[in-house]
Amino acid sequence: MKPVSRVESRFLIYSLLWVGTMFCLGCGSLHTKDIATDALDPNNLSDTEPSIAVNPHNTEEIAIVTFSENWSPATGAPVWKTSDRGVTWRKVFQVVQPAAGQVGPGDQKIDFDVNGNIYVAELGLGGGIADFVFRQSAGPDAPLAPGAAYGNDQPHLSVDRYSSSPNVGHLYSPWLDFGQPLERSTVAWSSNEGIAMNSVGAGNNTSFPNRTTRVAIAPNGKVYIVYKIREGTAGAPNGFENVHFTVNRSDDGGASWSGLGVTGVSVHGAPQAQTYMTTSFGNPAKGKVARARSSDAWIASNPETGDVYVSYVQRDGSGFAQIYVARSTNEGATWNSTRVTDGTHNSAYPEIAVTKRGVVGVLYIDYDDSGSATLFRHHFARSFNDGVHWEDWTLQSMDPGPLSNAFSGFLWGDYEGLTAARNTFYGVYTGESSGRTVPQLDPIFFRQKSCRWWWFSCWLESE
Amino acid sequence: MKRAVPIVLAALLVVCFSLFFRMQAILGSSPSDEPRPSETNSMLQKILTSQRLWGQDAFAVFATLEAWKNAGETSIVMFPDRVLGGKKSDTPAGVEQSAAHLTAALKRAQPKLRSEYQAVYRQSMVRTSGFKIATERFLEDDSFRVVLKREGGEFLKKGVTMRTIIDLYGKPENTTTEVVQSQGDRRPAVLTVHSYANGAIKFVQSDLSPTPDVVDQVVVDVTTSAAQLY
Repeated sequence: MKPVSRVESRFLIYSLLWVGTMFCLGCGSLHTKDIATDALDPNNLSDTEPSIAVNPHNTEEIAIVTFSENWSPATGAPVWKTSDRGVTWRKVFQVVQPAAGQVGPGDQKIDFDVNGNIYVAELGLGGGIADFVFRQSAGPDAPLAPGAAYGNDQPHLSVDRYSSSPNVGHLYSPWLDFGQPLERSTVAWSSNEGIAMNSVGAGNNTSFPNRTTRVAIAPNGKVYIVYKIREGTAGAPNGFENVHFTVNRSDDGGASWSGLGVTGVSVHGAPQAQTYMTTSFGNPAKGKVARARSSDAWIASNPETGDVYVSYVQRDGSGFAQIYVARSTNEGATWNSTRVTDGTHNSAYPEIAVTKRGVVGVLYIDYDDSGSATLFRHHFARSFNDGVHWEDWTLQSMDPGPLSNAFSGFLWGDYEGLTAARNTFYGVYTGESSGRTVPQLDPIFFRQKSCRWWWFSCWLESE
Repeated sequence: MKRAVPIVLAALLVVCFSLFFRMQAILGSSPSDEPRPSETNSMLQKILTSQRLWGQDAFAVFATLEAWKNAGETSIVMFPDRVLGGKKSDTPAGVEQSAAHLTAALKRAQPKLRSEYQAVYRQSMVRTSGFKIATERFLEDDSFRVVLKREGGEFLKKGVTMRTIIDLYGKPENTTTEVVQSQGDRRPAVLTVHSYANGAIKFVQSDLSPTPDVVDQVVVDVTTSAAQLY
C-alpha cells in the first residue's frame, strides 16, 4: 500500500471539512420562495388567506390554496402545486363550481389523506351560504368532486391519516353556526370523503357566542378543537374583547364533543384573555390595516406522542397583544402556557404545527408603527424544548402601503398556512412579492427542516 | 401699428386661456373639474336611457324612482336579476316598513316623466304590475334590504364590462376600492367603484364575481336621478 504523503493527507482533510461544511450549511436552512410569477398570476391577484398541505406519501408534493381566481361555470378555482418540494409551482384549476349559481371560493382549507389524495373545504355563496368538501375522484390534477352541502361560516378541514387511529380516513370540518341565537362552533364529520357530512354542535354557547374554530387530530384518533367564547368588551381596549380560548375533544369520530365535559377546558385557566376583534390590526394613522376577528387561535397535535398544543393571542401586562402557546400532555385535561413573543409589539395570526420529533413551530405577524409607515412582520418561531424557549426568525417585513392589491381591512386574510411533515415545517404567508413586474401581495412559501444539531438520525432521515 | 398691439395682446390672451382650459381638460380631475350640472344631467340621461346597459325592467324601475324615494331609499342597487334598496338594517323588521311603503307607492300613479325619458320608458311601464317587493339578506354585507324582483325579469344586462362603459361614457370621474365586511369571517368582497355623473351612477366590479371585469352591480342615486327624471 502506497503511503499517503503529508500534502495528500492535508488535501484529504480539507476536502472532508469542505464537504462536511457544505452538508451542514444545507441542513436546517430556511428555504423561501414567492410561488407566483407574472405568467402564473397575470391579473396580479391578492392571493390572500393561504393554507398548505403536504402529501404524506411523497413530501415533494405540496399544495396551497389562496384567494386567487374564482371558479366559474366553465373553469375551476386553482390549487397551487409543486412536485419538487417548492422549487417550481403550477396552478391546477380543479376546484369546480360546486352547484349552479354558487360564487366562490369564499373560504377554504386544504389537506391530504393517508393515501395522498387531496381534499379542499370550500365556502360558496349562492342563495345562501354553503360549504363543500371537494375530493379527488380521478387523477391528482383532475377536477375535484364536491360532496354534500353543509355548514356556514369559515369551514376548516383536517383528515385523519394515522394508521393507529380507529377512524383513519374520517375528515372533520369545523364551521360557525350563525343559525343559532348565539353563534356556535360546530364540526361536520364524514366517513366517506365528504359525500355525506354530519354536523354536530361542539362549542359551549350557553351564555356567549363562539367563534374561530380550529381542529387537530391525535395519532390515537381523538379529535380536538379550539374555539373562543366571546364574553363581551367590559374593560377591554378598543378593538379587543374578553374571551376564553376553550378546547374540547371528540373520542368517537366526531359524533359527540364532550371528551372534556360539555363546557370544555380553558387553555389559560379561569381568567379571561383579551384578544383582537377588529378590522384595524395595525395603525390606521400610518397606513393600511388588517382584519383580526378570527386570527387568534390554532391547534396542533404531536404526531408521535399525541401532546396537544394551542397557540393563542392574549393582551398581557406588557400592554401588547402577545402570542402564547399552551401545551397539554394529558389529552386536554390541563394546560401550561408560555409566551412566544417578547412583549414589545402587538402580535396576532398565530398558526402552530409540531414535527415528528416534537419541535413546535409558530407562524405569526406583528407590526412596528414607530416609523412613518406601519411595517407588518411575518415571524416564524420554533421551540425545541416544548415551548420553554423560542427561537424567532423574521420571514419578511412589509409596508403594504405601496402595494396596489393590498386592500386595507383584509391584507392577508384571517389566517395563513403552517404544517409539519416528518421533521420539516412547511408554511405559506401572503407577503410582498419578489421578482414580479408589479410589486404586489403574493403567496410566499417556506420550508425548514428542524432538528437539534446533535440529532444525527433526524438530519439523515428522509424527508 | 400702435392700434395693432392691443389686438395682438387680446388674441394672445384668448390663445392663453384656451390653452389653459385645453390643458385642464387633458390633465383632468382637479376639484374645479367637477362636471357642470348640464354635463351631469346629460351623462345621467345617457346612462339611464341606455339600451346597452339595461333590460326593460330597469326602465320600469327608473320610472318609479319617486316611489323608492318616498319609501326612504336614497339609492338603489341594480343587479341582473333584482334591485336592492340601499338602506341597510341588521334585522328584517328594520326594512319591512320600507318594503310596505314601496309596495303601496308603486300602486299609486307615478309623477309624469320628462318627454325624453317617457319616450324610452313608455313601453316598459306595464312591467311594474309584475314587480314583487320583499326583504332579503344581502350576502355581501349580511344586511337586510328591500328587494324588487319580477319573474324572468332583466334589470342590469348580463356581461357588461367596464371596457364597454368606458367606450360608451369615457373614463370614470373617479375610481375607488371598498372592502365590504360581513358579520362572519368569510372572504370580504373587494369592490372597485367607478363613478359617473358626479357620483349619481356608480358601476361596481366585485372580486367575488366569476368574471371580475364584468360590472357586478350599479348603484343609482335616487334623489339626483329622480330630480332629473320628472
